[in-house]
Amino acid sequence: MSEPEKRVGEDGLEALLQRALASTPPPALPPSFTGKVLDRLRPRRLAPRARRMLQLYFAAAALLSAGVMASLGVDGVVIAAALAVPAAIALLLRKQLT
Amino acid sequence: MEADSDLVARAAAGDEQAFTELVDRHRDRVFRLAVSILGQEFVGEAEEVTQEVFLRVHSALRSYRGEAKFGTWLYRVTFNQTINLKSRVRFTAPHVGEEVLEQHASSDPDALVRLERARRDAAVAAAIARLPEVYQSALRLHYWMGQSVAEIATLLGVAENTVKSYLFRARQLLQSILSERGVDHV
Repeated sequence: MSEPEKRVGEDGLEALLQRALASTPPPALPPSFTGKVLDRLRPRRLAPRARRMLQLYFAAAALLSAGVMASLGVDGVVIAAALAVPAAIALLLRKQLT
Repeated sequence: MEADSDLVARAAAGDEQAFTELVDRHRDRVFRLAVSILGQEFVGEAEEVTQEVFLRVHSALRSYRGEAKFGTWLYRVTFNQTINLKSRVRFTAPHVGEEVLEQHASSDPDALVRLERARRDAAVAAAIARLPEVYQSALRLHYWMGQSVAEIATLLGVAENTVKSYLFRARQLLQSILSERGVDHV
């Protein structure tokens, strides 16, 4: 390295910074960026078929539970509460998420 | 062009088109600010932060009171979120060993020049990483992304003279760090 090269100066530092930092082109966001943000904002919904399947499953499970509890002699009010409480919580959560 | 404050009011009321317009209007600046804080090696992470900033801003639109300009608020959120991420995750540029650099060297005189330049650029990047965050950001915005002092002032939410003083102090500190490391051949 030659002597003049060793000198540190404002101009030299300016040039060094420009060379070192500008060696990589400034990055840019992809054109799809805005779409990605909007996708993340939209609530995710199940496909209609999957929703129907899930509703049928819950209805069947509730009926079966009610039947089993009734056959065990559980009081009707307790059965109604046992089914209504989780249903109310599910509806509340759904309301908060949408 | 519709004012930011009008778009914010519409977006807060659930107008997706208004929010899209806000994202399109500010996305590049938010990204530039994030990448200027994280550094050249972390462009992907900067894009992720940019997305997170807009999601956070969307959920906070109703609480935005308009005391500060929307842009000022948005860039402040970006700065804080990026600094948070940087402090949680240790961001270090991948280390390039001497042996890797020397593999690129050959008897070609240009190759030696390139090797020397790569060493110097790596030393500059390491020296910049030792500066206070706001100086790093100002330097990268100015020298890498070619932003004007006025534009940097907007992004950092400070006066133009403050940006000039950041750049001046950053160059002074950088000069002394590079001199310490013997990289004063500029």
